[in-house]
Amino acid sequence: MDFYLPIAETAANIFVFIGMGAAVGFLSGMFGVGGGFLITPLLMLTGIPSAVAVGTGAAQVVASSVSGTIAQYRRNNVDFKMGLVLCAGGLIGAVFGVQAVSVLRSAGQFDFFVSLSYVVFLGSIGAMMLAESINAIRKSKSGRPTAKRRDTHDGLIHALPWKVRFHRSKIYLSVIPPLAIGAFVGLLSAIMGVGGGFIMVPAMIYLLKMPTNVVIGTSLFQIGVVTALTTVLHATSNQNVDIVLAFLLMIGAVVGAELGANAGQNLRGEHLRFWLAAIVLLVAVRISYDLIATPVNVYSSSFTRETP
Amino acid sequence: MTRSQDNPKDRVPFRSPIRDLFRSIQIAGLVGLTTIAAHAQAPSATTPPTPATPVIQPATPPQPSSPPQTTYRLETDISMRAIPIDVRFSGARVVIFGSASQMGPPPVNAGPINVVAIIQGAPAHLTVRRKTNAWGVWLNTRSVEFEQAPRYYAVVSTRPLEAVAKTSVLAEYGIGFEHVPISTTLNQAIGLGPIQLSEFRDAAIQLGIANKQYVRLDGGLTFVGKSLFRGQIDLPATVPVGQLDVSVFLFRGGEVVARHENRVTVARQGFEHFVYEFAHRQSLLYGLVTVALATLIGATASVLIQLRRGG
Repeated sequence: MDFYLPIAETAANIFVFIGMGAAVGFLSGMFGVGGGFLITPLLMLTGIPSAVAVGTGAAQVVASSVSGTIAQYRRNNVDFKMGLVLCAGGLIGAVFGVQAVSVLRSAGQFDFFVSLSYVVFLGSIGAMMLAESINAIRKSKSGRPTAKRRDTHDGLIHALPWKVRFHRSKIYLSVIPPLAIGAFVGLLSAIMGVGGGFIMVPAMIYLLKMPTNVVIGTSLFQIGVVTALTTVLHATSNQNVDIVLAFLLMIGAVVGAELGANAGQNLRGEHLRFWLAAIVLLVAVRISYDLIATPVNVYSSSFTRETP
Repeated sequence: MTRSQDNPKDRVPFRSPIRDLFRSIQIAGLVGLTTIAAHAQAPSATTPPTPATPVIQPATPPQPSSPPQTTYRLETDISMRAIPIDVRFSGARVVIFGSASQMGPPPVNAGPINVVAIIQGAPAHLTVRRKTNAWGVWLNTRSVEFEQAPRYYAVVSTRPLEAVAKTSVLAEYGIGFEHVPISTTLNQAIGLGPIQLSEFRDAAIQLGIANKQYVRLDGGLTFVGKSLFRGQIDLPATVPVGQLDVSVFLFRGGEVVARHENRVTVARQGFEHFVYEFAHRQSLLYGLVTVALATLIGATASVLIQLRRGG
């Protein structure tokens, strides 16, 4: 069944997009990632103009993170205090990110830089998580309980001032590391057009030593706030948010997110991390393939609506 | 806008009202023809610049005295003057039809009659980029900005364009992919030779063809009887909103002897119009509404699923 999308300016089969939303929503509910790094490339594959794909992808992520946050909140898996600190950092980072985007655009290599950031960050984080989770799975299979590393002295991180107790995460930590992580992710998400969950989740697990379950709920909360802001920014500055397309994706995504959250509940933390690592690496491989492989057509073209 | 494929499978079927409309106008066209024949001397308002010179007759030498000239009359219309874009829009089929008639003495050895129609969307700024391999990765290294490129261009003809007229004639009227009005200013093309520039131009056209935004239909127009012709074209769902200019050329012996212009307006209707205007005129509110919708959907789904599970 076709529907004409008012902003994307093309007709599209609604079931394709509901299904796409559901698939991405499932992963986002399961792993606590917004799914922006999946939905935006998928939309472009189906012929949605790239600008509209970025703006609408952000709107879709809002819905799946709200649904995911509520599902996680019911299981008491959201550390709102930590989430707000991350958001504060994220806003600072996003401001600098927007500046960086205009600099890169004028240099003419914006697309390449985005692809490269995807490969570098997805690749390194994915590889790191994969190695760690395989190690953890092996350890748990061999019967030895995994050592609780939460209270080890991470010299530098624990020497920082302004320590705050994050009750839900069961950590006592300076606000500086989460602010810095939030800012870094905010910077990247402005450049890459994603919520940044795939960076946020490992950072919280490995740097802040938060429990995996709480990480997922908190990450979803933070992503929801950041992408809501991003959506409004896209709508006002580029008019590239297609509310009809977003609606179709959301319908699929919220159902998928709920199913994903339930599926994730039955998985152990190290298994969750393993599968997230596998998906992240897959996307990294796919993007690097595009960078390296000889393109079918070395030319590409795009119309700009308004003549400058 | 990234170029991409749209789905050719899902097309609106040819609606019978259009067919009826076509029939009725075809009859009207026939009536019009007889009227024209009765007023053969009346100056034609609908055929702008008809060549002042008589039709070239290669077999006979030019006559010193001026014999009665053969004049051509071309009248055309489109089955839909306005194409509404509503929620169910997934492309439109338009029928181009008209009549070509000649008055005065029939010319000797004037060559075949052909009709060519060009449908053109409003021009827009087009950027064409080329990737090259640098240190193992493919980078966009060159780009050319074409200030004016039609967002839609279709050429429909009774015979292959090569058989209709010489390149120089086709170029004069912007007929055919080689002559699509895609222009760039010199300062955009600094450091590019004419050959490189034409490579970018060709690439733009090839991408347009792949995307169904540039269409060529040889034999897409056919004569129905002696002077009536018709042809149809399927506009894709990505057809640019705004005005489409339809120019129909009548060729005789490789020269344009008459020309007729039409205009089709593609406009958003109802819901599509409302959303587009909302997004562009009140973008902040639109963004907030989108976020509110997202939050509402997310929360509702969560509550509904909880209720179902909770019993």
